[in-house]
Amino acid sequence: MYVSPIREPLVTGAKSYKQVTDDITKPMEGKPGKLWYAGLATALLALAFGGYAIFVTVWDGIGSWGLNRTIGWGWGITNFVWWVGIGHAGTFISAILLLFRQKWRTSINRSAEAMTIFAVMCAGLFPLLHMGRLPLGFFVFPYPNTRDLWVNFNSPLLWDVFAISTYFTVSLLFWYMGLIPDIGSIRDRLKDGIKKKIYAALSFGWTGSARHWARHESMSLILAGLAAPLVLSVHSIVSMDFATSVIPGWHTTIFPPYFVAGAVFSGFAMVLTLMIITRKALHLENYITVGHVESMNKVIIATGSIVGIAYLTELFMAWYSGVVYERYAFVNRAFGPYWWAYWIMMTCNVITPQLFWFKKIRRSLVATFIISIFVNIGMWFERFVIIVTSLHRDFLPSSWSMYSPTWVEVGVYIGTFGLFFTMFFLFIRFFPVVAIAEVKSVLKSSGEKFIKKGAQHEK
Amino acid sequence: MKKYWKSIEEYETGIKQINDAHIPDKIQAKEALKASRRDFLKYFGFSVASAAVLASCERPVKKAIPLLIQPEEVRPGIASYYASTFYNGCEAVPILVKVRDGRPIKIEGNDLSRLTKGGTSAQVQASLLNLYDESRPKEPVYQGQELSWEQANSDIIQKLSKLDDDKQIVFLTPTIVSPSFQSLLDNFKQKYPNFKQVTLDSYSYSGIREAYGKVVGKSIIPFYRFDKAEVIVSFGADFLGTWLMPTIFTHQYAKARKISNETKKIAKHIHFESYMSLTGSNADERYIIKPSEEAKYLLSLYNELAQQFGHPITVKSGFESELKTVAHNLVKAKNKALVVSGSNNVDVQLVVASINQLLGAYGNTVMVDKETLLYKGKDALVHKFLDDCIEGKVGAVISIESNPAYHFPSSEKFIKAINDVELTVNVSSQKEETSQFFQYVLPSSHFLESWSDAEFIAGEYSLAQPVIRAIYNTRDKHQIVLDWLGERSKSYDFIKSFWNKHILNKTAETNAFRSAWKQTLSDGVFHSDQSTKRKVSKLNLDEVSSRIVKQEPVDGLEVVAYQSISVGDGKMCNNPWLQELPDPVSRICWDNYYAISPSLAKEKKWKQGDIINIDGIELPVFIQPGNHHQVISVALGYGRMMDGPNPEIIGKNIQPLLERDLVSIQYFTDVKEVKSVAATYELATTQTHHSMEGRALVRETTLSEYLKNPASGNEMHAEIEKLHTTLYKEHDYKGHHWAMFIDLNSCTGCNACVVACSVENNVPVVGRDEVRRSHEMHWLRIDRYYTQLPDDPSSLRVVRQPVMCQHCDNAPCENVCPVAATNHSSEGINQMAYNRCIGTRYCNNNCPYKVRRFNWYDYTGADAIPFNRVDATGMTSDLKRLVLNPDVTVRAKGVIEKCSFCIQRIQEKKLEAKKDGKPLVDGTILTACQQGCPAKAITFGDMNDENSEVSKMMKDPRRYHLLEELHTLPSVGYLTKVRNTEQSNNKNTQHKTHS
Repeated sequence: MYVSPIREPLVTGAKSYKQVTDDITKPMEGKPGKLWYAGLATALLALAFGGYAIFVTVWDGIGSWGLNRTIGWGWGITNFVWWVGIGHAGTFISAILLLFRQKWRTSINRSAEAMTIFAVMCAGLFPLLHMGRLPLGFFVFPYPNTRDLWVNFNSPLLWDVFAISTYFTVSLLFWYMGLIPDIGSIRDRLKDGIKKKIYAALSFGWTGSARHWARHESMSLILAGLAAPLVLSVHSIVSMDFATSVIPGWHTTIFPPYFVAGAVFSGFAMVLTLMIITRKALHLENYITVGHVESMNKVIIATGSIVGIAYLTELFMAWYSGVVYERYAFVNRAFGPYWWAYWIMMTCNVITPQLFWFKKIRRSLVATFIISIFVNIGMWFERFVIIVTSLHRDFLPSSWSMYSPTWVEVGVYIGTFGLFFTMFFLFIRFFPVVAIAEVKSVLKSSGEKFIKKGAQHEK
Repeated sequence: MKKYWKSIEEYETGIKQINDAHIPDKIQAKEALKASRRDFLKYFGFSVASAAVLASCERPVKKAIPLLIQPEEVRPGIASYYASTFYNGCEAVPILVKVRDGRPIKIEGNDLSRLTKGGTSAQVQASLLNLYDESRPKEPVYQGQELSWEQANSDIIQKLSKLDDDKQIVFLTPTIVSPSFQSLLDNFKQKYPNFKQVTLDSYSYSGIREAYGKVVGKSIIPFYRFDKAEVIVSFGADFLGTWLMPTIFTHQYAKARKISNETKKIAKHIHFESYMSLTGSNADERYIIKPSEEAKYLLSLYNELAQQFGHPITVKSGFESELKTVAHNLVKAKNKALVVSGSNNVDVQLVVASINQLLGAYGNTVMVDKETLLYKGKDALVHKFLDDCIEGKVGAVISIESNPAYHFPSSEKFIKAINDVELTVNVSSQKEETSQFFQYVLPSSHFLESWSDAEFIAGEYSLAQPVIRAIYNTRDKHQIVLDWLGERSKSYDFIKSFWNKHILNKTAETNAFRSAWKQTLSDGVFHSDQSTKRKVSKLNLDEVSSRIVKQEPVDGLEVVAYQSISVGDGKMCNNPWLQELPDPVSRICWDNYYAISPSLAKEKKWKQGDIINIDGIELPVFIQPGNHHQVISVALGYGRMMDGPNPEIIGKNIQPLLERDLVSIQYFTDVKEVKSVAATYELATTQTHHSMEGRALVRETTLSEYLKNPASGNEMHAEIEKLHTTLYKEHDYKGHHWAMFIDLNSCTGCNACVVACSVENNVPVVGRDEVRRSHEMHWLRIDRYYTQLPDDPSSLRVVRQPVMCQHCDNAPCENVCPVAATNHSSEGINQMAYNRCIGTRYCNNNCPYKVRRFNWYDYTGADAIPFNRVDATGMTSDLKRLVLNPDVTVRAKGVIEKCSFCIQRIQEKKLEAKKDGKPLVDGTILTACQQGCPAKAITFGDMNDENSEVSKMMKDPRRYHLLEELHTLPSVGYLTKVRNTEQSNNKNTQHKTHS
């Protein structure tokens, strides 16, 4: 197949198939380094702290959080939406980019998907924990019972239950589907032992036969087809937690698209943050290239601009509606007691990503890393601004109030980082971070060696 | 049976005889048959044997012995109501006590009283909890040693008889309103000629009494009729909050201010004061004066009135020109005007009496023929008693519920003097500071455990009866004195025979008395219209006025001490319901504080919560719009120990600031020294924002505009009604459709409803720290907003709005609950299924009225997880839990709760009507807030009943709904506030709506 030599290679360093397998499975073979242990230990520590905070929350009650009669949701739901948002990149990359035949997705989709799954796990914790009566959480499922009790299908929280659980299931399946050929490869590289048995079991008897490949491919397409609308629906539904309410600042029809864009925006930022470190630590520079980073930065600038336009639209609509409550809500966002949160959000989400218009910055790993962190912070504050500043001053001034988190809320948040990174560290240890089979599939068309070959022909 | 073949071979060779076990149905049937008999016997035998073995195990025996004779009045699950009287040394209110299964659980106003018509105050509602107070004295004690009643009484009698003849025996009591107790004391006087009774009121009104001593020849307090007044001018008399008998006055005031299509007239209320009081905040016009200037203002008013009436004037005091319009208003109203003053200064009260005389108010709005029998104390006598103590003239001091160690004007001197008295006895139903200084402490019964009676206004009687057997080893006060007199009779018999002889004596026959007594006991109230004619003499004010004019004006800061609406004089300090009740003006609970004007705060650079030291007493500062620039106001009744799991002294006692002039205590004083203390204190408040932000939440108009257009100030309502449309099918309420209306013109913000609601619905008390975190649980709150500029205290206006669940027909909370725990009843009530609630708080977020309350912690002990209870005030102790209403679920940690429209009351009345086979009559169902409201500002009823009160209000042009532009279709409606002022201050509340 001919590939224009102008195209940037997706795999650099003239790799052969074997080299690809060797490079990618290298971190899994041999003893993990000190850095890995240190990382895992820190993550476990954070997880333990979070566990204690969760214990306090459930045992003592939500009173251990900083919420009050006016502000019923604070850090908990902020973190929920933030983590769900982060969980959007993986599926977006693997499903939507697969459908659009974007080959560059192959070297990042595995880790992005893993990140999605871990992020959704973290996210899922918050709706559970924020419930006053966690042990009765099963009431949200429409199960048959003798008391004729049924759930309320009008409630966006119920939609959330279905949306998040479906999304988690499909993402997990999709991720695992992609892992099967790679697990097969690892199994084949292992000598006899318990490890081999485990991988053998996990590989579901993958032999790499043409029939297996055919089924694998079609199943991947089906799952991609299922996952693609989910990428759009999950955050649309999450946004409806707010959009269907009457609270000024929440009651907005713009929310679904704006939230989806924001989710992809924050997801890509998180993928970048992690990938820039991972490629360095696991020596995967040849697979995750600056070209990859640049492509992702392009998505960031696109989604970041959508988010920026959404912010401005909200302001315009608040003014244009002529409703005092709406107007006040937005003036209060920008200039009220939580003005700093609003301006952090504006700076991090709207202004700094615009730097990516410069190719130099777009291709600079250091700049990208810094800006990706900014986006992560900015997107967290976006949710904080939406939730807390809208609630703290709503309709009746008599009930206006202020909110600040307690150590318990902060602890739960830190705990989810612990969970996320514990999972991530285990993942990079036990599974290939880059989809070996998929990279191989593009090696012949987009590998450096082959693009160079094409260039020679042209001469 | 069908024949089966397994293979061609078998088919061809012939079918094997079926005799084996391969054919399932045959063999199973066979085995089943075979098994049934034996197995049945086996299982049967085993079951019987095991049942026998298990049954023979020893089980704890629980004895439940039925009552041999079932008491007639106790029907399990059905409440009985007993008429009684609340009296705590300040005001007396006829009440009904709701008793369920032998325990009093709620106090309601007695609607048979022609004075209160069922009204109560926050203190009346809350007084129930003091019954279930663990810190009450439980046994008679002599110098720390418990002893029996018989022992204590015989000791005391012995010691009394041993006293020297020239030594006084002093009974120190708050004002005695009980005529029967007074007669007991008269008996005591006969037995002990050197007996003396000294009245120690926690708040002194001796100025009025002394003044009337000169006006009518007897030191009385007249009975005021605010309901008959067309113009009310008050000089610092907080008559809606604490002055004299606020419950009765609130009822009268609301009557005088009621506006409807029939009566388009409301009384005008002009208020002069130095700090923002509850009454001042309700006034149509408010003038800010210094407390030291009050006398001069009143004198000027007298002169101005005298001039306008053509009478000779007295010495001018310099404020005449400022009072022209006020005087003009009074002159117009003539004998339908009423002037009152809260001052305890005789001269001031003499001027007030003269003003009322000028106006011709006597016999119309001021009744001297029908005196008020509260606050009989005289400062001079209290002072004399202290001198006698110091001089050693007193041999025995018996304090009955008067807590002199706290309430005495100079308590330290008193405590010192009491040491040398031979016999000291403290009779008290509550924990008192006094007990530690007295030899004997005798526990008296709570008023709900006692027989008593009251005559609080001449001819207005009320009986008090016990509604529960004494919880501790206590005796009621009548009984204690009877025992000391050596009489065998019980207090009940004594009171009955007293009533027979003195009160119900008009009915000559014994049988007639018996039925009259029974009727009175059932009604609780009795009145006779006999009155004492008193002549009002004309006063010469020259001497008084020259004294007033001579007073040097005070240049610096002044402190004003007032009683707070919740804690009052401090007697009921140990009451979590009252402590957690936000002040209707400042919205602060759990503390007292120095309230200062914003301008003074700016001048002194004090911020909210900064601690300052005024003449040795340190308290935090609270910035209170509406205060005089040079006035610091602070509440009395604090600085007392609050018991509970974490005993603490709440606030500071500021009485030492006032102890300058002992002969006649004044409740204001000039400040000698103010120091800033480098410390801050976080006051617990339930409202932090005080402006309506131009939103049409409380809609108001002026009387003149109302007369032109009854819908004035409420134009928005019609606009919004026009836009009423929906895509969805509207609910159809076939049976009842409950609705509530709140007349903002009647509501004074007295807070009685807030406590009534908490008592009725088992609303948890959360404590100061939780209130600081905005975790308060009140289902009903009274929002308070200021209009106009905070820097201009005289233009400042206050509006109030009671807000509870609005029971929206289009409720935003209902849509969003994932488990349908909050839903709509077929009668239009937004209801909560606590069992179903999982606590997502989405409903709370989505409630535009923010009336939903979440159980942040295990406040009630209803949670299943152990050791996680957050009960700062001890409300979950076994004894205090007796106060819980068994008809209302106690909510566990993690669920949302809110106003239910008192669904249990609705249900009760519906069932009663059903049993009687009659339709439910409008007005039968009274919600707790409505029942306790002294102003009758709350109306509840069925919108589907065309003749109901609420249906009429639905047609009232003043009707509107809170945030109606959201189309939530609330079932709670409000009626606009109408102020009796000339100019409108309603300009900036109109704005564009959702469209």
